[in-house]
Formats: sequence, C-alpha cells, structure tokens
Amino acid sequence: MNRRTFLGLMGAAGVTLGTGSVSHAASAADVKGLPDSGAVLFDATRCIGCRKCEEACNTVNELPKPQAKFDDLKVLETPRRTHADVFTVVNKYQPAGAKAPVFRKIQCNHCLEPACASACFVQAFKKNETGAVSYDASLCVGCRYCMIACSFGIPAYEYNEALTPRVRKCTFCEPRLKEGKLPGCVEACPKEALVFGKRSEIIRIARQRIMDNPDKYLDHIYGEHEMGGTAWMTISGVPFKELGMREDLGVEPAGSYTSGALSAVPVVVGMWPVLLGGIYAVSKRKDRIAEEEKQKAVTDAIARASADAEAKLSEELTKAEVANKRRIEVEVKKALEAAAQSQTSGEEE
Amino acid sequence: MEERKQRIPRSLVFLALCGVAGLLALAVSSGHATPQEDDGFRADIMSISVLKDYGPLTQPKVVFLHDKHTSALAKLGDKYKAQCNTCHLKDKDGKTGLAFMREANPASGSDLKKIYHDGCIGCHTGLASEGLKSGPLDVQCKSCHAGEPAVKSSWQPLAVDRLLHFRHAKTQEKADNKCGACHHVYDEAAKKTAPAPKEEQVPGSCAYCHKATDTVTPGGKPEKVRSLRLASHGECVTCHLETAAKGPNTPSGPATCSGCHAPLSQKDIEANNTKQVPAGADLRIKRHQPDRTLILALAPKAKNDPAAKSFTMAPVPFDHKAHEARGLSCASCHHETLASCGTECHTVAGSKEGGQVTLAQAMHSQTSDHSCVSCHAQEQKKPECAGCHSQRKPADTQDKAACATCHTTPAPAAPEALAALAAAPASAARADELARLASQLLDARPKAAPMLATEDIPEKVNIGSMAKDYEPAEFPHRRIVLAMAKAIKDSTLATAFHADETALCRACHHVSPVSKTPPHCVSCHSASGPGPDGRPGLKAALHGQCMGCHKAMGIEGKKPADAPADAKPVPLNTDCAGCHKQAKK
Repeated sequence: MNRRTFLGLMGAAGVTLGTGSVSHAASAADVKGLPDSGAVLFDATRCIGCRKCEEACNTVNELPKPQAKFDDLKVLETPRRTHADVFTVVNKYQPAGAKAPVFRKIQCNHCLEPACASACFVQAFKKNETGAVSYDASLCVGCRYCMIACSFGIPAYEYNEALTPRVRKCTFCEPRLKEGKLPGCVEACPKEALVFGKRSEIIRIARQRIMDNPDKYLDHIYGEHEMGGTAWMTISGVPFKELGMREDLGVEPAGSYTSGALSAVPVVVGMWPVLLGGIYAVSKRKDRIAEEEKQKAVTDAIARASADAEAKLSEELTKAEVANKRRIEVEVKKALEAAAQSQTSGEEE
Repeated sequence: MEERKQRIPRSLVFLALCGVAGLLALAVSSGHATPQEDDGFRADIMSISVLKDYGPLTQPKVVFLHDKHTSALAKLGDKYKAQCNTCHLKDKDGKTGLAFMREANPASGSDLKKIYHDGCIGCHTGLASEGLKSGPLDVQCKSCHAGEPAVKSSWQPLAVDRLLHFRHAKTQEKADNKCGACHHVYDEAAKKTAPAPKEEQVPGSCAYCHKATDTVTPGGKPEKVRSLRLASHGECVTCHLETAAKGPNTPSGPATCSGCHAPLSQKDIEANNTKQVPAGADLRIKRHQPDRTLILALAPKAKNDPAAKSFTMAPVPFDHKAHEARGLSCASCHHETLASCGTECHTVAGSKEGGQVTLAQAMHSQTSDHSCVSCHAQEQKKPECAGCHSQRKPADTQDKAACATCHTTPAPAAPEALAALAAAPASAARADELARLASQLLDARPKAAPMLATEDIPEKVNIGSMAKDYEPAEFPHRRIVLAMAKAIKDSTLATAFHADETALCRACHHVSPVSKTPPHCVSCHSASGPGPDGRPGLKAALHGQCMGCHKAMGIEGKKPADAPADAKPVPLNTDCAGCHKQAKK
C-alpha cells in the first residue's frame, strides 16, 4: 500500500467515528427517571441485629435453612456476605468511639442504572418499573461478568450446581410487590428499620428524619446518588465507612464508564468494513486498471516497435537485395566487358 | 561465555539479599522513644519547628521529649544544679524565660538554627565525651528531625476547676499578694502588669487575655500578651519549682509535662482534690458576684423618638450561686469577661463586641458551649433523663409553653417599672432590687415536681392488639413511672421544667394533648404499617419507644438498683421472649 492510500484510509476511519453518535448514558444529574419506582430506606440507628429480616427472606424465597438458626446472634461476630442461597445478611460493626455496636443489612441495592445489567451482554438483568433489578436465568450464559461489575459485591453464584448454575441475589420480592405486599424483610422488621415506598417518598422521609434529629444522623443518604442512585438507601449515625460501605464509588453509574467505548462498536463493526473495504476496493481497482493500461501500452509499444523493425528490415533487405543485384550486375558487366576485351584483343592477333 | 552467564544470576541474588536486609533494618530501626506510662503513650512530646517563621522548613520537625530530658538531667545531680536554667535562661529581672537558650528570636534563621544546634548537640557531645549516655550527635540529623513522633501522645489539657482553684487560693490566704499571686491587672501608671490582690480587682480567667498565640494589640493594655501556653507554664511551673525549692516538707504542684497533662496524673489530681478539700468547704470563687439576680434587658430606644416606650421581655430569675456549682469555673458561662452578658457584648440587638450574637441567641443557642439552653440540653443526656428525652425531637424542646418556666414576670407586674429598672445604671441599690425580685420568683417555684396520684397511674398495661406470633406483653407501667420519677426527684432542673403532673407521661403519650386518660397508641399508629408522613406503624412505634428508652438509659440486661431480688433484668432488645412470650402454635 502506498502512503497516500494509507492516509486516506485513516482519515476515513476517523471521520466515520465522529459521525457515529456517542450513546449518552445518563449522568447522575440526569437520572430523574424512575422517581415512582420502589425503594427501601434502611435506618442504621434503628436496626438491633435481630436477624428477623434474614429469616423472612429465607421463608419467602423458600431457600434452604442454614446451619445456625436465625435467632442465633453469635453468627454476627463474623462478617458475612451474600451467598447462592443467602440473599441478605446482617453484619455487626463496632465503630470507633461508639459505645454500642451498629448493624447493617446487606442485600442487592437494586441500582437505578445497574452495573450488572450494563456488563451482561445477553441482557439477563433488567431494571423494572417496580424498582427491582430482575435476573432471567434462561438467558444467562454463566460468564459471571455481573459479579465482577457489581461495586457492592452482591451477586452470588451456584458453583455447586453442575448443569444449570444460576446467579443469585435479592429479587426485591417482585411477585409480592406486584400483589401490593411488602418485601418479606421489610414486613418482618420489628423496628421499622426498613421502610418501603416510592423512591421520591423514601428520600423525603430520610431527609425528614435527618432534619428532625440532627444529632442522631449523618447528613447524607447513602444511595441517593452513589453509582447513579440505588433503590435501597441507608441513613446512619456513624460514618458509612464504619459500616463497611464503600465511600469511594462516586455518582457515575457503572455503565457510563464504558458507554463511550461501547457506542463506537456498531460504527466500527458496521461502517468500517463497508467503507474502508470500499475505499480499498476502489483504490485497488484503480491500481489494477492502471496496471492493465500500462500492460496494454507496453504491448502496443512492442508491437509498434516490432512492426517498425520489420518494415525497416524488409526495406533494408530490399535495398540490400537491390544493391546486391546491382553489384552483381556490375560485376557481371565488368566480367562481360573484360571478357569482351580479351576477345577483342585475341582477335587482333 | 559460560562463566559470564553464571555470574549474572549470582549477582542478582546478592543484590536481592542486600535489598531484603535493608528493608529489615528500616523496620527494626523505627520506634526509639521509650514509653512513659503504662499504656506506652507520652504526655511530653514537643514538636520544635520555630524555623518555619523564617521560611519553608528544609528538615522535618524535631520531636523533643521534654520530661525525658529533665529526668535524665536530674539524674546527673551536680551537673543539673541550674535545673531549668540549664536550657531556659534567666532574663535581666531574674525571671526564667521559656525560649531555649535565648531571650528573643534572632533576626536570621541560620542564627536560630545555630542556637539550637550548639545548645542541643553541644550538650549531647559534652556528656558523650564524659562517657555518659546521651542523645544524637552531629551528622545524626534524622534522629532528632524525625517529623512525627514514634509514640502516641497522651497529652490532655488541664482546666483549673473550682476544686483546684480552692486548693491554690488556700495556699495564698496568708500571703501578701493573695489573689495577686496568680491574677494581675494592667497598671496604667507603670505601663506594665501588676498583681491584683483584691477580689474585685481580678479580671477573671487567664484565658480572657492570654489566647492561643502571642497577641500584639496596638494601643492595648498591655500591647503584648503572651500565649496561654507560655503564660501558664511560665507562671505555674516556676511557682511550683520555687515552692518545691523551699524544702521537702512543702507540698508543691507538678513541674513535669506528664505531672499535669498525662491522663493518669489528672486522675491523681482529681483524687487529691477530693482528699484535700474538706467536705462542705466553700468552693465559691469570690468576686462579689450576686447570689441571685434577675436577668432583665431592655432593647435600645429608637433614636428618632426618645419619648417612645419600650418594654422588657418577661425577665428570668437566676440563681447564680446554685449555678456556680454546675460549671467547671466562671469561664464556663462568662467565656470572654466576667462582666454581665448583656451590658457590653450580647446586647439585645447584638453588637460588634459580641460577634453580633444577640442576647436571645446567647441565652438560647442549642449549639453553643456557653448558653443556658445548650447546658440544659447536656443535662438531658444523662441516663436517667435520656430515656424520655432521647425520644423527643429537638424541635419539641422549643415548646413555647416551656418558655414560661424561666421567663416569669414578678408581681406587681408593672412593665414601666421593669423597663425603668432595666434602663437604670448599675448600682448597689439596683443589684439589691434585682436580687429581691429574683428571690420572690425563685422561692415561689415548687420544691418538688407534681405527680399524679398513684391510683391514677395504671399498674399494668396489656399491650396485645397486634399479638400474633407472640402473646400480649404485660407492661409494668406504674412501677416504671414511679421509678423514673424517683430517679429525677433531686434534679432542680427537672423539677422546674416538669411543671405539671402529666409531664412525665408526655415522653410516651406524646403529641396528643396530655391527660390522665391518654388515647391508645393505635389511634394514631396504624397496625398495617408506617403512615404517609413518616409516622411509624404500631409495631415499630411500640418497639421503638421501649427499645429506644432502654438503649438510651443503658439498662439493657441490667436490673434497677432498688429492684426486688426476684425481679427480672431489663430484656435485651434482641430478646423477644423477654418482653412477650412466644405464642404457642
């Protein structure tokens, strides 16, 4: 390929990238969407660590009963995480300087723009109007990108299942929500540490609680903006870091980090082969035709040259023949004259 | 070729070993300061960075352990005869300065550096040459310039409270200077500070003039004022040393950093306070303050209408003597000067001297350290109060009816007379009149908080409207109400504010107008769940009240002090069956 072609190809590639529209994954300021979707507020100052929510989740989802019973509070001494058959756990934390321990319920946060849905290339995860981020096992291929993508480390996997393993996480009790009932854990909590409602309402309730009791709460609703906003939010009297909650997540939804690059894929896959292939084909054809013409010109030139040569040759040959003939005639004439002379001289004697 | 190939990996191994050895050495070498107290922390850590006034520092700050040096030098006996003056030179008046080996900071930073280097390293070198254990020598820069100390500091500030003040004042009872031993005033004639021997001459707490840093106020009286740190160390420590020098039988105060500032030492000081101050001693810091007074303030008159009338807010009778026993010292409330709050600084309309904080804000601020209301709010955090008061929102405390607890108008209620009294200039007669009116109001207050008759308090309440998985709870209502009333009966604050007999009921029977027959909780709290205004559902309301009170009072799992032997301890919040038995299936 010559330089001109190369530069032309590069220019075309760049221009097409510009024409492709960048998919505008909404920033947090734009996530006004879904104010009416379901949300839950967890109040860390109310939770007493009784684990009734864990028991209710286990019952409602018909999960296998664990080894330690739900009223065994000694399990709180070790921090736990969600598992294939444990959709929610309560952990105990001892914040620095606090007299009493504080408890936190861990479960899927049902983000407004879920990272798991963004990472799943078969769209097995969907954010629904009820607020729940639902999982369709029939679409899942088991790549577990969702487990890596989730900043909260929630999705769990059925590693023990050989043939049909599933990704497992809190379902927000979607069937119950559709019936107008509360999620199992929310209904079971004796202290109303969990409150269910529309997301806009839940945020208002949280703000009201913080305003009414400024000494009791930190002035921040965790999940209002984190990772673009979550459906399950937390208010607390101790710093969220002390509850094992990440404070370094930022307000950008996970999908927005990759949407720029990913939006270029259709352009690259769709337009580049066609356009660049076309340019290549055109340029190749031009070269080929040029080559052909060159060949023809060469052939013609040779033909002409050979024709010229032939003509010259025959001309020269003719000339030579004529010259030859003349010489022969001359010689013959000479010889004849000589002969005639000798004859004449012979006769004189 | 073969040999070269072998040498390369071998040299790499050698380098790696050197690197590991270096890292190990680094790890071992940190942490060279020796612990001072049992917990390994020190109270004498000083950070020397005086050169920062001369430009950016080129070396990390010097970590200096003061007590370590004084105790090491004390062990030298004869060599330490000059004691503090070994390093802290005396000035021409014979007073020990607090700077190191100099009277004033030199003009150039390199001269100051030389003073420190010659002073410190010179002494170390001298001792080392005599074969004694000493500190870092020259070229061991980072041994002193360590930046951050290797041990944690346990330094705590020390406040002179009434007990400590009493002990000190007693030592000066028979002295010439009396109060002037510590307290001084500015003598205009002599243009310097002079001792203030009489009570009424004492300007008050040291902190009124001596701030966190040295201050220079042009035209001030005096212009240059030492920082509180330099002033307190310069006066207290030198006095303690002089007293100790009088002989082993004269008790004196601590002269080392840890002696005052270490937590263990402060516990000792507290113990000594209780031991050495006789019971019933008059701890009052006398400054001719009133026992009782009426807080009465008049807004400034309109400038353009001098005949306009202005009336005072209902005044507040204030028992100054009783309140003196509450705070640490006068400075708890009189935080800038001993003058009355409203005369110059916190005027009714606010003034520049008071930082534009009006009298109302100064008295009622919820967030200040010095206001009446914030101090009362602190009292509400005590366990016997917190059970009820932690459940109430702060907004509830602005219940307008509670204003009348403090703001009462004396009889005969003549507004003009009160206004005239407020406007009158300060005089002994005015102070007497204010005290008389205050006494009239204070004496009229009930001595004990009124309580409902015992038969009107239900003995047991059966809480069972939602019983499903658990049986109804039998709540020992009367026992708890009477126990709470007993716990607060000696609190004058509680007695004043719990003005009517149903006050105690209001913690649980809240929001609805309180009466002897309050409505059932389910009237407002729905059994089906939380309400639209964030109101908890019935289950959460009941659990929140009971568990919240137990948690705030810190009585989970504990038995009340005067409970009968067979009484059950208060159940843990997670002990469901402790309050209501599991229902039989």
